[in-house]
Amino acid sequence: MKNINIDEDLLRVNLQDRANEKEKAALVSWMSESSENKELFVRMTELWSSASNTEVFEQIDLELDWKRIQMKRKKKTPIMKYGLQYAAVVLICFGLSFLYLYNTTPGFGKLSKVQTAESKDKVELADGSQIQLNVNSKLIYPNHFGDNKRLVKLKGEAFFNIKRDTSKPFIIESGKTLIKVLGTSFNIRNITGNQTLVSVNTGVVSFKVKNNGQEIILKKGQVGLFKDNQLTLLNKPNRNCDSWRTGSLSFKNTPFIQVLEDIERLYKVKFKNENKKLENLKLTIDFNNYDLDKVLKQLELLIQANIEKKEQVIIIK
Amino acid sequence: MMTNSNTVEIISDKRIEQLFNEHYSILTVYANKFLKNLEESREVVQDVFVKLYDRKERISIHTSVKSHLYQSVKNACLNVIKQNQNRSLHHENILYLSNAASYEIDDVFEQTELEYQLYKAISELPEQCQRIFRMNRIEGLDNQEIADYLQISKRTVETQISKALKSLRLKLSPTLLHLMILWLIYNTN
Repeated sequence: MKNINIDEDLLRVNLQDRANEKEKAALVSWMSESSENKELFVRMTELWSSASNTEVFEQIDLELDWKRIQMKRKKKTPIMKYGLQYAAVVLICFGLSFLYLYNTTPGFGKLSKVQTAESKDKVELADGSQIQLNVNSKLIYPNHFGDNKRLVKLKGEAFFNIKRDTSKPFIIESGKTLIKVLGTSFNIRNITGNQTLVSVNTGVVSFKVKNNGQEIILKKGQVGLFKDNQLTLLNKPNRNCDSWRTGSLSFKNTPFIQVLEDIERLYKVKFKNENKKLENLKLTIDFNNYDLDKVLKQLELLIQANIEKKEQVIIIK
Repeated sequence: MMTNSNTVEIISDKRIEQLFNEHYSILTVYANKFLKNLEESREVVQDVFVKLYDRKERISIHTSVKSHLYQSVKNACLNVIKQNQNRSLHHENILYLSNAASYEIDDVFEQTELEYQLYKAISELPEQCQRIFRMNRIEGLDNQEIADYLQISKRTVETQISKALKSLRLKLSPTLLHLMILWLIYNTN
């Protein structure tokens, strides 16, 4: 098998799924030359796809775990006899695990983590970029950025205000997507692992799917959605994408249902509309940091209907 | 310590350390495929090795030690899954775990061995080549992105990945051949 002649570049371009028609045909023709060639290609496909699973081996520290085994053994026998030995093992263990933790645990040295639960938070990174996190979100970032890029990981929702640096692209890993920017401000929402929404305020952002050719470029005012493994540019993006951050809502000829949804999301309430006629309405109104009661009062006036708060639900008649 | 059974491997303390260095990573990643929790998987496999020091345990091994380790890890995983209230650890996994009789015909174990060989081979690649290959396959960046970060040409990135492929292919030849046969058997029936 080692003696088979193959243009490694041809193999690579096909495995990376970047082959043009000519290259695809060349591969097929090479494969049909012999069964060994076919076998080789199958083997390489196997190797190619397995490569991405090898990361986990990196996380196993043999020395550390061997010490752990010795410690567990000692626990089974009377400690008194092995007093000094035990202390030495514990010390070494701590030293090794410190290194291990230093390299892999956020907050331990190289990496940091900021996590929110009930309240929002803000963080400024080493390069001056500012990130506002919504509730129930998590951001992992390095204390110092490398020479070539700035890479962070996001779970949940955050608003990014990135310092421009063309030599160091800023990349956010969120769910299954990668968002790359040069210097801009935008919002990313990734609530479940499989869905990510990116809306751009200023600048230009590249929004792509990991390990997959899909990529779209988002400009100011545009919104991209990754859902069901599909990346799409939304035609009518929601103007209130980052209302969690500004506290304000803005509606311009917005369908009634959408208005209710946006209010629900910002104020964490639930509406029940019993007035079917209202569903066809399009509203234009702004709520600049109002409290819920004021919003409801204004809404009542605008739609000429009756709004009543009843336990957990707000009813519109 | 000899007994009167057919063939018993005499396992010294030194031998246990050898076995650890040779099989620990694979057994742990194998366990992880079922338990989906690396911490837990490490604990499980460590406990199996700790038991190996037990004299009674050592002399009761009738199969090869590798087989014994594999079976012990499998059984321990089964117990963990049964104990866990967490149903999302897959009913199918339990069925799968109890069916494969030996590690030689256990697909998942074979796959884990391949991944381990691959992991070792990747870490032996020259520095730049390895870095680029990992950025592509493990971090999921595409050729252009890698070129941008490392401030090199896209062509260089492509060449390095092709080089990596060649090196890995040559290193893994025997392992892959073995798997190939399995693949062919399963797919031509």
